[in-house]
Amino acid sequence: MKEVKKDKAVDIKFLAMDLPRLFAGIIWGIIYRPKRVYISNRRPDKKSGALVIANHSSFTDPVLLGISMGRRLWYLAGELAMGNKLKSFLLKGCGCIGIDRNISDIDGIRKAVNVMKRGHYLLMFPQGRLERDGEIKKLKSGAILMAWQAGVPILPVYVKKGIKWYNRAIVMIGEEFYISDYCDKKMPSMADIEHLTDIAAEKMHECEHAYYAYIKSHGKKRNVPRTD
Amino acid sequence: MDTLERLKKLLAEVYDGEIDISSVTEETRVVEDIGMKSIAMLYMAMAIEGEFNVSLTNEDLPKMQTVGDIMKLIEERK
Repeated sequence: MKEVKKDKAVDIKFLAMDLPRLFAGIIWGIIYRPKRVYISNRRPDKKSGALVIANHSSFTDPVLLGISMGRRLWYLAGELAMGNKLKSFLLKGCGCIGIDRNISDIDGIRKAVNVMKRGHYLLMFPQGRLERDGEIKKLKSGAILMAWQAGVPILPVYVKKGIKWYNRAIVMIGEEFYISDYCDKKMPSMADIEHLTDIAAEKMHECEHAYYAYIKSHGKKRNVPRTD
Repeated sequence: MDTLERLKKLLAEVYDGEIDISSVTEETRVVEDIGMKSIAMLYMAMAIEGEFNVSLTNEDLPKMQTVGDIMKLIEERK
């Protein structure tokens, strides 16, 4: 795996990605004031590639994560999200990689894997759909396959906007882990992949629990959804 | 080791005892007989690329109906 220099805020090579990120950073930064919180002292390696897996409860999540991770993000998007040719062109310019979920899209997967092998962050929502309640449900196994193929760690993240417009959005960043931390086989079996998918879901749950603990400890009860 | 044996070895690793590898022949159908789902098909394609040093495309995957089809595809791509 290639190790890259720490990402600059704006790089001429990635201008098409960085300019929208810069503008979104200003607008989203004012509206949502996202706060990045690490759940442990073990911070992710800022110079290597990783697969970022996050919950997806709002259409603003990709932008919030894009401006909060401190790294340039590539995105994995379903072909439907890519829309028409113009939208697809613009999204690809911003770093989106389209995946056709109706077929085994090995071409799309290869592009995504190559991005991570080059030492970049790739964001995907492994639930495969928008879950408005923010609950983490069953994950798709594709995330594990891609991380295995690229040889990069998986970085679990939990993102949540505040309930009220004036609440800050919180991005909880978990501990990154490698497939090899839980499976010592050169090639995991399908059963191992299912097991690793469950571990990835657990890690996302850890971030979710850390989010609620953080909100409670900081006295912002209005940010906690009502359960009654 | 010939292509069939190498493919059987890959299948053995992917399914780890879940299927009877000794019964796999060129005529074995990957979906009906092995029960390969789309995610397993993708994984198998990645594993084939690594094992045989070939590159597969989206158009190749639907052609992989039987083990014999996969062998033919590998020979074409070599």
